[in-house]
Amino acid sequence: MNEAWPTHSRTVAGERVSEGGANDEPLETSTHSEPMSLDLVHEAAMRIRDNVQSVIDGKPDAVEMALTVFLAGGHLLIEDVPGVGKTMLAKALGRSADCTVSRIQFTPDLLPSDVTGVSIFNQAAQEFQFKPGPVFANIVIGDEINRASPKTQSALLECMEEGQVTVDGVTHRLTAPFTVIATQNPVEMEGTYSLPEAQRDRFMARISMGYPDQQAELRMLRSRDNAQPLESLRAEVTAGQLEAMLAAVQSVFVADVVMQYAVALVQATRHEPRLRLGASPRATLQLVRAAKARAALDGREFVLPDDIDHLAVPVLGHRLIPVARALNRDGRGEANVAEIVESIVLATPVPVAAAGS
Amino acid sequence: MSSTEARRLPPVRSARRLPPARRASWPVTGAVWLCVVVSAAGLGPLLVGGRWWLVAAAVAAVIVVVTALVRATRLPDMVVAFSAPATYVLVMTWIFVPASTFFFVPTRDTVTTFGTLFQEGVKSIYRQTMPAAVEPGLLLILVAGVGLIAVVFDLVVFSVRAPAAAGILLVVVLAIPAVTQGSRVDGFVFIATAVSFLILLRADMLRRDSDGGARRRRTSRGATGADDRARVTTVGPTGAGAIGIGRQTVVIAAAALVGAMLLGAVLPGFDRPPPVPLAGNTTIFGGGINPIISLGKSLRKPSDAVMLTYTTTAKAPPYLSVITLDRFTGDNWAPTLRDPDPTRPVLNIGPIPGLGEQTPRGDDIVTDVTIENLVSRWLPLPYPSSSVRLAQADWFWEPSDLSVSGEQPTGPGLSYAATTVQPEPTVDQLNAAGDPVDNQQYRELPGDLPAIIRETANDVTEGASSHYEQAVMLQEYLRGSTFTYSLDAPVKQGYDGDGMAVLSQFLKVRSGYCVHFASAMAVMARSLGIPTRIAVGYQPGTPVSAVVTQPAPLVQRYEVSSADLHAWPQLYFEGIGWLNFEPTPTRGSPAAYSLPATGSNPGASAAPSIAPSPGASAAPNRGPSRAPLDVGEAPSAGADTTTGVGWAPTAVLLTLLLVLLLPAVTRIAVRAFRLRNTAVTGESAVRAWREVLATAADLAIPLPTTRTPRQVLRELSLAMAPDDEARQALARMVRAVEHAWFAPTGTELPEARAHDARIIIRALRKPLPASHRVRATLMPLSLLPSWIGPRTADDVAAGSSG
Repeated sequence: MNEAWPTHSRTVAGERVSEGGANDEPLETSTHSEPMSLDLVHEAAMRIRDNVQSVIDGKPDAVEMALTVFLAGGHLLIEDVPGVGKTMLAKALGRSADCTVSRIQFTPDLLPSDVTGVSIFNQAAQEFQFKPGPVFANIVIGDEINRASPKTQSALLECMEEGQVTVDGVTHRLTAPFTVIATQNPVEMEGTYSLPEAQRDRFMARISMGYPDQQAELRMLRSRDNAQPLESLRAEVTAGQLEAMLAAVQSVFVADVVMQYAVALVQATRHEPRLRLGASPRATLQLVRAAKARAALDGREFVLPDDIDHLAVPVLGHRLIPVARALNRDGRGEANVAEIVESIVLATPVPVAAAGS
Repeated sequence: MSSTEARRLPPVRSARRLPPARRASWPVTGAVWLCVVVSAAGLGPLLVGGRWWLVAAAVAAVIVVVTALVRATRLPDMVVAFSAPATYVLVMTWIFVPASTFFFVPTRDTVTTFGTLFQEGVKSIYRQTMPAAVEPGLLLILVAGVGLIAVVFDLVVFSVRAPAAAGILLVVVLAIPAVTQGSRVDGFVFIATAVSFLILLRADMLRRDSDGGARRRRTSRGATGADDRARVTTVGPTGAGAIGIGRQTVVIAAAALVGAMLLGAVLPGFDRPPPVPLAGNTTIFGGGINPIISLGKSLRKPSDAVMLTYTTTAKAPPYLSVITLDRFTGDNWAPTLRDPDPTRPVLNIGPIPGLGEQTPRGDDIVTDVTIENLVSRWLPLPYPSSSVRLAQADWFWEPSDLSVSGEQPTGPGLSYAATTVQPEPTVDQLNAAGDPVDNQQYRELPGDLPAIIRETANDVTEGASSHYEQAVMLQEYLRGSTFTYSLDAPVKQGYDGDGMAVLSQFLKVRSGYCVHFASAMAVMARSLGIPTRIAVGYQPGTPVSAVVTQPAPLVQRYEVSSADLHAWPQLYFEGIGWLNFEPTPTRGSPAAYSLPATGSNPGASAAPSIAPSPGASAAPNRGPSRAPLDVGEAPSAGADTTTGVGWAPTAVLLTLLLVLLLPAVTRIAVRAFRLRNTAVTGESAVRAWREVLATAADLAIPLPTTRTPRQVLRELSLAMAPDDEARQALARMVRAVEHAWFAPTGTELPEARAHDARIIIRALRKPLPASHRVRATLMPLSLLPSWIGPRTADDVAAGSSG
């Protein structure tokens, strides 16, 4: 627990950061607002990004990736050592976007109900009342998810997949947007249950933060000596604007050739001899969704193959399992998988619209 | 980031891998074998049967396969370098002289056996006309040659790593039929060789890529794109070099092949040896090949190389005989070839066959000959020469026909002085010459001589009372108006040659050139019992100075060109010896003794050759005669061959120029087509984009097809001259192209300008050296179909790095 600020011992539920995120009851937020124009999306996204970067110094890629996944409505898996700012990233994102953020510190004895919430018998009302767990927030930080028991893991993962929680036969919808930012500690391997493939597949992307460089770390020391930097953050967009942004992301155009390209990439992973397991159709779906978000961040109204290229490693990497030989070559599967994905990206030609030839 | 980055680096294990040059590559090995074997098939027309080819192919296969296997091991480089020659020697030994080995190891005996066999082969080449039967000795030479080429080829491709240079070997092999026989290289073989050579280049490129590609790729792409700049800079320089050079090689090879094919199709003389001095006339007296076969071809050649020049003290310029053909097999006339006999130095030649003491002789004439372009194993000499003085001692004379041959062929600058006897027989003497007692072999004819030849001979010579009169009448008949001189008629009508069938056809059509006339007269003379042979050499040639003053200067220089190549019969008269006759109309000049006694002008000074001097023509009953012909008339026959001289080099140059400029012109046209629109639409933006990509390809800037426009933008910006205008133009163009390809239809196109493509192209060319730019213009790589180019590093990465 080397985080920069004090943490609650096991679970931190529903840390309210704004009024807009009130979630005592499951929200039926299907009221689709008008999509924002993409220029405005770009502008707003840049504001959020700058805001987040004011506390997460020197990690533009991680910030951008988190923002992309957030806008695409996916979940992010951050694999890194403790203390590099994973939680800070998530919290800063939540604050900037006027969202609720909750943090779950996974431990081996954490129970599913500690995540989802629990029904408590209200003596006064003579009925069971649902006490929502920390999962009822816009951004849920799942720290060291691999330390929890598989049962607890799957409770969270079910929420991620379905967007709802079922406790005692009652289904409670989760808030939208709903993004889980889970972290895994790759160094500490003892007493952990690393996520099975099927569950890794639920995450839209996996990134690693990496250490800040010397200058960034120095800056951090100077600026953050005693103050809590998160306090200075203010929301850049309202909840309504955020919804409009999410809607705008959905409206980004994907040309047929770009879809073909995404499919070609994913299919190539299935035929790649160096991989034991290729990417799933869900991966294709999420790849294109993430690409849409990236295009929207860029203020573009259509997806480029470059978006797909850029996202291929974070979106596909954690879903693939290399064959043992490839795994052994440098002793670590992950880096090698990234290398394989890169080689596939490099080798897969970008289809070109017939109209242009 | 840096920690994960570090983890991604590949482990340092390359030290355990074999160095790239040592990796066996079976596709390349196969292509090497294919090249050698296919080009060797070009020798097919020179030889009878194809068994030799199978043997040669097998030997070549063993050599390349064994060498490839050795290369695949980790044996030291020295062992690998010697494996090909060693395999070659062993295989040759086992095939040809297995008995001489000691447990498969060659012994001294092996060497001597090889030597004997080899000499047999050389003799076999000299003895035979083409196509030659493959006797054991010849088989040895053929297989040894092909095997040697396989060894050298393998060495050049694998050890020197210069497959393009190996192409020269193929050209040499393909050129053999053209040089020796003057025949066209078989078109199919030529194309097949070209194709196998391209396959070789392609295979070699793939091999290089797989060596270098994997290494390059690892540094080629960052994990999340943050280090794109680093990636581009690493790809830029290294990739440019490798890909550029590879494609360049292919372009050169392809251009050469296409050029050669076009030239062959366009030019009439391509199938014959090169015109002017280069190869001289190796085809005629080069050794071994019956000269008479090539004679017609050489005469039809449009060019006219000076073979030799000479001065002579003779009043009339002499015929220069090189070699005589004394055996008539029915199919052709052939020389009896003997090795030079070192016991007969040329300083003192004689006795002159048949020349009796009672025959009057004129003053000996001296002819100083200087060889220009003639390449011959025999010296051109006036007949009968009694002495030849020259600096080199290794020339020897042959008793039967006084021909002079040496081990080394003649070369430019060789000069010698020949002293020639001038027999001046009287007509009485000629008439009195009876049937010869010896020289029976010069009267031999095949049993199945066509009747027309014998009948014609008898008809023509009716009333003649002596062999001499018969000879004169035969010559008169053939020189008469019923016969026409034509170099082409026999070829067109399919009776070119000098066999019996050809002769009977010739006597019907009555059109041909010296070969036909000479062999017709020779065969008819033989049928009448006169010993006859055919001399092959040169007619007197052309005086070098335009004006021949009267009286003729004592020393007049003459120039003999390839168009003066000639064949004429020599007839034997007992007591007098061999006399030249000239049955070919319009060619040469008949000697005085060979003309019938008519009202010719006795005062004419130009009685050619060994004609009797005026004094010697003492009242023969048929009257002595002088040639009415003037020396100046001699070269008239060359007229039809000289017409082609002027335009041929021009045409060659023009065609070459066209072929060279063809790619550039095509490229310019393509560019104009692509950039034709001034209005900017999505379609025109994409076309302009293609043009930019093609220009990058021309300039050997590597842009694999898997790159997106944006990635191309980054790489081109680095390659471009630092020019903001061009950068902006490129960015505009990329946006337009992305929009055209990936945006929903009907949306507004971003700003783009019609002139952007030209700005970008200029900026791309600007930083490159001038030579590079010229090459890109003349040899636009973008015109190549994409499959010829090497695979990009990316292809390799996807396929085989695991």
